[in-house]
Amino acid sequence: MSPARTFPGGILLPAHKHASSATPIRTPALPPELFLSLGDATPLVAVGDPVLKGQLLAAAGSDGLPVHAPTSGHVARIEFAPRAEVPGHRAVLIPDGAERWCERTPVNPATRTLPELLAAVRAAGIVGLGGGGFPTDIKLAPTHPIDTLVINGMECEPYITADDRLMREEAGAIVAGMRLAARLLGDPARILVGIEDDKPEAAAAMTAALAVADDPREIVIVVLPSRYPAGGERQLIQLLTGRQVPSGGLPRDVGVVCFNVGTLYALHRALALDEPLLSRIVTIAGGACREPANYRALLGTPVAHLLAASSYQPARCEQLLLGGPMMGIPLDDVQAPVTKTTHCILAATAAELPPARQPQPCIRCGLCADVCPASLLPQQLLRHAVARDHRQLERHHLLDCIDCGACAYVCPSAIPLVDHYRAAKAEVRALRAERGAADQARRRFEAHQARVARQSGERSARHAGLIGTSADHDAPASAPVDAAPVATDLLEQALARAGAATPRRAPLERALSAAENRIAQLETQLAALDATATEAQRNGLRARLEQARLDGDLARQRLLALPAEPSPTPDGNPQ
Amino acid sequence: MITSAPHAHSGLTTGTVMQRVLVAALPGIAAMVWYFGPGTLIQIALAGSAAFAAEAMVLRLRGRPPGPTLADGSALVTGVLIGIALPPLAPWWLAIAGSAFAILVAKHPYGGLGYNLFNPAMAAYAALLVSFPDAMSQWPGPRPLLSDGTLPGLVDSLQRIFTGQHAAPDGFTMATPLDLFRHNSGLMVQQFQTAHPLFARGDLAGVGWETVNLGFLAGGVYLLARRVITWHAPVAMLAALVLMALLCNDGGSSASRGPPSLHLFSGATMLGAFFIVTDPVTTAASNRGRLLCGLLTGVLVFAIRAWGGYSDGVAFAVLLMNLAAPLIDRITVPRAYGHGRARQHHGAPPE
Amino acid sequence: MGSAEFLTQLPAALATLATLAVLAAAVFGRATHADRDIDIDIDIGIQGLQTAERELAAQIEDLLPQTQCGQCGHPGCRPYARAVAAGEPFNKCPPGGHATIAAIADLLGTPPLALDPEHGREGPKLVAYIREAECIGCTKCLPACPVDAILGAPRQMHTVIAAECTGCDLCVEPCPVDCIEMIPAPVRSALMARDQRPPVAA
Repeated sequence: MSPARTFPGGILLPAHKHASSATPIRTPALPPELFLSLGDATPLVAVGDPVLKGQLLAAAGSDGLPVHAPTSGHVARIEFAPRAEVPGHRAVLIPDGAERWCERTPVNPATRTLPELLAAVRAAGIVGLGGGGFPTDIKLAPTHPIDTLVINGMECEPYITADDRLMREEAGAIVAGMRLAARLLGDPARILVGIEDDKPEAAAAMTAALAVADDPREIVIVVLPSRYPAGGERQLIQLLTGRQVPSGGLPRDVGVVCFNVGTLYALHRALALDEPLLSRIVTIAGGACREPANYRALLGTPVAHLLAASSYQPARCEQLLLGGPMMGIPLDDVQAPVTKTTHCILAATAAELPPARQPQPCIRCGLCADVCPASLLPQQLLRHAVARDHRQLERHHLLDCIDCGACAYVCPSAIPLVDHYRAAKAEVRALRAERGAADQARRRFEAHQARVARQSGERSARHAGLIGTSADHDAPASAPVDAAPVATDLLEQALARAGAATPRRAPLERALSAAENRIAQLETQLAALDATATEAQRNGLRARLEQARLDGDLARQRLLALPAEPSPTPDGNPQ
Repeated sequence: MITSAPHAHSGLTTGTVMQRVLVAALPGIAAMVWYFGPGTLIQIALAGSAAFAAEAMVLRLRGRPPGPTLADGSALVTGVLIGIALPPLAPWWLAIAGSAFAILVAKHPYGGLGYNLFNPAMAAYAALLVSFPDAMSQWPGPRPLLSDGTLPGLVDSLQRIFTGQHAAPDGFTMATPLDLFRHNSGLMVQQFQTAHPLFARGDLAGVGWETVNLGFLAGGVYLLARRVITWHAPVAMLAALVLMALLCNDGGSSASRGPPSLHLFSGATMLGAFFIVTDPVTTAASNRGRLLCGLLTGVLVFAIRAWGGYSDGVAFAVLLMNLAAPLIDRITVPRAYGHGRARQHHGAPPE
Repeated sequence: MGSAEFLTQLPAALATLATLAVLAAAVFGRATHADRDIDIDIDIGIQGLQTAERELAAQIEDLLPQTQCGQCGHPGCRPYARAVAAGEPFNKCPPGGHATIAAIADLLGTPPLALDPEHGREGPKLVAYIREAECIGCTKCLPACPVDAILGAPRQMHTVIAAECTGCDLCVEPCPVDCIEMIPAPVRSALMARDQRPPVAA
């Protein structure tokens, strides 16, 4: 296997990894409170309930992900969290410090069937821990034949070392998880593990773990040069296999499935030890932390708790980021909890991440195009995004931008290119949706017309065959004068149905006022008709006015008769 | 203020880019000063400061903060390029008129930095060439061909430039190599080269002119190394020029348009290839587009030199291709990731 | 001398011609695939005017909102598109509003017109909503809906499938109890993103 393949563009970034990669993964003290986002999951516990570690707190909602108790304790509150990443309800769990597990029944995964294993993965709530957060069980049940399993141990963003430490310390478990994933994917012919060359210890640990048990498959650890964004899923697949995931498609479309090493570790814990996903490795880094390190953080741990464990100095912190310096998002609430996709908290000083300069005009120098891993033309995209030329944006493949930020990193004019593209992408998607809805409406309209034509054809055929027998019944409802009895009949039936149980005033009053409104409307319309109006128009309006009057009288009578039994037949005679 | 990803930045600024361009121009300028006298330095100073002043004035008129835009040095680069392109002893108002034209007519009416359709320096050069053809063709002979002391010193140059004395009567102006080939009166190339002192010492493209072009070539290599420019446009332009010269080379007859070496190392070829055609604002955006742009520029430069009305065609060729750049951009959108022909279907055999 | 002159010029002339041919091929070869604006002109030249008009109608139809409301006086968007292609004024579509008028004007290469108020006014996108407590299950609104977006059966409560509703309001009139109202369609999040654009440098 030659690692000669490459991807276009990319940038060399200062790594800043040694500060946090030198120390082993720490286990922080239990935080006083854990905050567990529930989304639309159905809570299975009540406030005050004692819970055990690993116990199911809420059954999976629309995202298919259950919520488990990361430790033992009790549910203190279930509250609305408006400032959360996804605003919604959250459960607040107060740990009791005992770490008592709920009942676990580890079964040797080798003895279980694939559907059982998949169900176990789903029940454990595992998602892609590299940052994507895509449910793992869906990826593990591919609809296409898979010939290559790609393992992502690249971690190309500066400062982040969570995967590096995990590979160094838990390579055996990762390899075990890899074998399970391979089995679930129908034993792909080869497994390629990509690791950047600035992590020789991790690569050595993985090699050693692979050597322990021999495997007939082609399993190769490929050490790749550090170049951002080599750890992007699409770039890594291109690096390792030379294949490009089609635009708008998924890796499985080219026979590849890609997993992050942390996900494989969680997979192993879930299937071999029957442990749901309760914790993840989080890098706390940046110059504003005196002791940068990696933590095995329980889900729901407030970020502030981990920062405190790393001797965080808020005064020195210029930017607090959730994620790395290239793709991280600003974190304004240090009480925000660790979620399944939190891989790094970066507390950077002003020297590390100076505030953004004032943007200057684009000089079209093209450095952005040189570094774009998706071979786009960022300078042209900017021009078209500012002009809102959506057709040109689509021609320039705006939606294939992966938000990696390499273009903005090198831009000498300091233009916030990624912001422009995000806004433009939202617009393009909205327009596409609008266009799709219009097409759908047109198709439905055509289907509607076809059906009406077919029905009227059938009806006239029936008329021709059965004159007199069913003519009354099938009279076309489009003629307003004919429609009147039918409608009265319907209203009659509706009222009878409603009145059978308890005669109610409100619906009748509404029907009356509605009818009065229509009368008023129609009268003005009729009065407004000028000399040019045809007789047919006039007659149509008159008929509808008549109908409205009938409805109104009927409702009025019903209202009057309300205390007594409703009268069986309407009078039907206005005034 | 809401900050957005990426939070890190390489630290590169527009000012740095422009500085590198100025540094890259130094070897070529030095060669010009050595062979054609210090007048070039005066022209650069005049044109540079005029461009800077014009930029400041326009920004003020347009109500834009002048500070950051002036500091990035883009106006200075325009001025310096105009100064290089002017004959060293051209009257002072020529440089100022050129810079004013570049900034006031070719740059800001289109929206200023980044939005101009034409390369401002070349637009100005073309305007001057058309308006003042005499003043624009007074090139002195290169130093080695003149008797001692004929090439004016700094003070003399200043005097000539500012007092408006025309340089012509002093007898030190000389036709450029490209001029000579245009008006070659029935000589075979070989006869020609032995006959004229410009080529007498075995120089392929004329004494002095060769060195100046080598200087700008060296600057171009520096720009390539610093990744200020990409190789596509210059290489394509030079290749097209050589190809055209080869195609039209008839073994040195009296009707010859000049050998490839002449076209490559004479006139404004290297300056154009590395400092003008590469102007990112006015050329095509994609690398493929730049190849096409460079290629067609090379063809046009040769065509103008060989069959046009002017002895050098870089400025006009560049301006014509500036017009075509938006169209070239439309037809050369690069293939993005995931749109490749090489897309493999699932289950493809692993290589 | 004449032949020598000719020979020296021939290669250059050929090279220039070839370059022009390549450029022309690149421009027009691409355009027929990528650029519909150019397509139209070519089509009009090559095929009959009738075909061109039909194609134009299809392109106009693509620009219409497909509300099928009939406010333009035509039974649906396609008949309106055909009428516009045949020369009718294109300012009769209130649901599309100014954006649609501008797009059609762009396509036709004519200046845009103001929306004809006789056919209605431009407003926010609406969807029909049935106040279900009041619905009597008469089914009269069902055939009125041009896109079959109302779900219901005789004597059963009806409801509007909001995602399919085009907001044409043709169902409001037939309702005998006036329980259908037009409410603003939910705002798309992308529209909010428009106001969050970063500042553009000069």
